[in-house]
This record gives sequence, C-alpha cells and structure tokens, in this order.
Amino acid sequence: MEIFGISVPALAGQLLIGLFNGAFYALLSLGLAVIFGMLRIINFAHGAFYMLGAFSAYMLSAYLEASFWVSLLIVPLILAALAAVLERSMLQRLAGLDPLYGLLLTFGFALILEGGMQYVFGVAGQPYSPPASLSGASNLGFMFMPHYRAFVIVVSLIVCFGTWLLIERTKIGSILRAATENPSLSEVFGLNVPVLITATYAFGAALAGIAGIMAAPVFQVSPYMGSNLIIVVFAVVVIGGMGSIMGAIISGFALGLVEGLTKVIYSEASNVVVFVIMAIVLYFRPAGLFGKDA
Amino acid sequence: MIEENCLALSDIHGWYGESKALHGIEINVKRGQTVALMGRNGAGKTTTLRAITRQLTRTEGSITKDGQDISAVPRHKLAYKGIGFVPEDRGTYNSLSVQENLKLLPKVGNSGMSIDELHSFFPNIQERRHAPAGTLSGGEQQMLAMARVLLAGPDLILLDEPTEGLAPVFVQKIAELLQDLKKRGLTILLVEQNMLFTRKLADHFYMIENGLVVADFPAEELSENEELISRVLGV
Repeated sequence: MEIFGISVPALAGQLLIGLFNGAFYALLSLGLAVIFGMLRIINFAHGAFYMLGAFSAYMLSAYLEASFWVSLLIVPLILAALAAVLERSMLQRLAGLDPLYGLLLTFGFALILEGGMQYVFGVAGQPYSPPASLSGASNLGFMFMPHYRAFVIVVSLIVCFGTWLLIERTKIGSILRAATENPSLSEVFGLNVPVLITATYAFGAALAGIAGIMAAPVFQVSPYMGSNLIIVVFAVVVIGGMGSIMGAIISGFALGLVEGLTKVIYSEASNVVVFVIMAIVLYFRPAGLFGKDA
Repeated sequence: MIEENCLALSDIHGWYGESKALHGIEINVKRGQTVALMGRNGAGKTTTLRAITRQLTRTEGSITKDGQDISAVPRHKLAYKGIGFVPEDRGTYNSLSVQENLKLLPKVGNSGMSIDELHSFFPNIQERRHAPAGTLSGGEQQMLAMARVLLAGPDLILLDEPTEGLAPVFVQKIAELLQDLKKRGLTILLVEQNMLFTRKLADHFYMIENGLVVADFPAEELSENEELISRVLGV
C-alpha cells in the first residue's frame, strides 16, 4: 500500500522521526515560551542550556558512571541551578529595560558556554549510549518503532502537558500569571515576585536540560548542538505565538510532523519548511497561531 | 475608646522619577477608625497610598504600622504586616478567573470575612467565579477586588477611590460593606473625592492639596469645615 506514491512503512517511519524531532521542538519551545510569557526575556541561552543538558549527562556518565535515569533526575536540577545563578546575578539587573538587553546578555552567555565547552571538549561529538532497557524496537506491523524514540515522545508529551496544567490549572500557575500581568502590584499583595521570576527562569532551563539529556543518546553531544537547533525552535515559538504555552506545545509537535512529511514528499524543502510556515503565519496572524493578540 | 495608632505617616516625601509629588505628609490612622483622605485630582491622595505600598520611585519619611517602622520592609512583605490594598484601577488580574483572583493573595490574618459571608455579600462574584476577571463590569471588578483583599484578612485596608465610575447601586453596596467592616473593627484608610459617600463612613478627615495635608478634623466637626471642604474639593 502506498500514500503519495510512498510505501506506508517509509511514510510512517518519516512521520515517527518528525514526531521525535517535534518532541524536542515542543520541549525547547515550551521552555522559551514559559520564560518569554512569564518574564518577557528572549532567552538566547536556551540552546546552550540544551547543549549543557546533553554534556552534563555525558560528563556524569563518563566521570561518575551515572546511569541515564540518574542523569535524567539530576541534569534538570543542575541546569535550574545554573539558570538561577544567571538570573539572580545578571538578568535581574536588566528588569524594566528593553527586552533587547536580555536578548543580548543571554546571547553572549550562550557564546561563552559554547566557547567554553569547545575549549574543553573540542568540536567533535561525544558518544552517549541510550539505556539498555530502552534499546531495540517493536514491530507494529506497518513500521518498526524504536523503543528509545517512543520513550522520548511519551516523556515529552507528559512534561509538556504537565507544564501546561501547572501554569493554567494550579494555584502556582495563577500566581505566576498574576506576577507576570502586574509585578509591582503582585508584590504589594504579598507575592515574592523576584523569587518567582528566578524560579520560572530556572524551570525553563530545566526543560531545556531534559531535552538535552534525551537528545544525548541520539544526536552528537557537541558544543554547537544547541545553536543549530535553536533557530528552528524560535521559529516554532513565533508560529505558536510568543509566550503561548499551548501554542508552543502544539506547534512543536505539528511542525516536527510537517518537517518529517516534507522529507518524504520534497526532501529539498525540509530544512526551510518551518521558516516558510513562519513567514505565512506572521503575514496573516502576526501574534502567532495561539498568541493573545491573534 | 479608640486610641492606638494603627498607621502613622510622618513627614512623607515622595517622587515619581525626578518629579516630587508629596511634600511632608502627616497622617495618623487609629485602630478601628475609618479615615478619609480627600482632595482634588492630582492632590497626592493616590500617591500617598503608593508611598505606603512602596510603589514610588523614591520615598522619604517614616511609616509605622502598629508602632513598627515599615519604611524599609520589602514590598512583598508589607501584606504580612496586615496591610491590604485595593488600588484605584481595582488591580484585578484580567487573565485569571474570578476564583483564581480570589484565591491569589496569601492569608495574612483573620480580620476579614469568610468565603460564605463574602458570597452572601457579593452574589455576582459567586455566580461568575469561572469567568475571566477581565469580562466583569467595573462594579463587579470593584467587588472582586474588595472580596479578594478581605479573604486575605488584613487588619488595615487601603482603599483608593472605590466608588469611582460606578453605578449608584454598586456605590450603595460598597457603602454597606464598609459599614459592616467598621462594625467588625477593621481599620480603613479611604481615598475619595465623593463627599456624599465619605461623610457617612469616615471617623476622621484629612484634606490634601499639592502633596501636603492642609487640614484634618474628626467627623463631629464636619459641619464646621464645610467651607474648607468646598474649597479643597472644588465643589
């Protein structure tokens, strides 16, 4: 059986790869959306956080023989702590200034992190093995489903929708949204806004850390793995609507699928299809598909 | 007998950027009193509340709550000193539901109303609890802002022009609520321009002009000061 003149197993395989890439787009764009939506910081360090997540997992494994599962717990905490230090020591001083200053600072921070990792590890990719319990694949009849890829998609879905629930359906989320809407009045009401800002930034970085460690067994662990991906992720955020949590999640997975489908139909366009969609969306809906002003 | 000072402002000077707006405000609010701070637009009434709640660029002078200096207390800890604030623009969060707005503030005391009492006082709020606060009318938003601060339970409430732009039915409702709060012993600093509304509620009046208190008198001396009130309020 064929669809678009392509065999179903080949099409399903590409769609699975698209969904797998979409899982990373969703996780990373979610972190960016949380940080921008809550703090109005365009976090150019996000790709570097993702890269550090992968490198942290690699170093924990290489030097401490920590398993993938231990790293999956520890790495987000490492990234959150690093982001909290960055926010408290530098980003907090830019509060109230044009968002461009935050963009430049985080961009500079990303360059320092990438340069530092290149100095220590070089540009060649480092190996990182997936956990043995997730090796192998299952035959679904119409395609083979690698267990690790299925794991990444499921974890990404759980983390993404868990984050959405946290922000949209819990008291912590309503406190965060209130602090975003009117920070100074929220402080008068007794909300510790500076701590909330730090926590939000740290949480966004932790999401990038989760993406980083899950990427480590599949993509090469290299200093520039984040900078290669982050431009696409920014396009995903713009398409979803800057600051829209649900927009980031849905756009992330959907654009991963579209990219996968494009690879099957017209592979030459697969690297630009996301940007073409971004241009079309910006033309018709400048605030993005799920943006508040859309 | 009401004697103890709940809130005392001494020689308060305040700035918006480089522009000085308060020039040595002196106000004492005794425990259990409702004190009205009155003056024309731009006289410095709202700025005085902003000075108390640390929302000015720069504030100098002494602010004490229950005898304790709170001028250096971080802004997010003011609420825990028992200070509730209902700003001029209501300060409701439009992206949050009515219920989320109500549950937002930390509980700082027990001097407010229970949720059941609030629901009986503000039936509209109960009915529209799932609606975004931004979809409420001005009167309903004012009710929500009052209900929210009462649930937090402060013993001092700073109220900034609660009747501004409201239909008479809501003004009446707010007057009833404030009378009820007075009976419960809450201390209220009320910023208003509406003398008809304030004269039935306040125990003491402060008249403010150009960022300075020009007169103050107890409610019993209201009739003796009608000329002054007319001049200050421009009515």
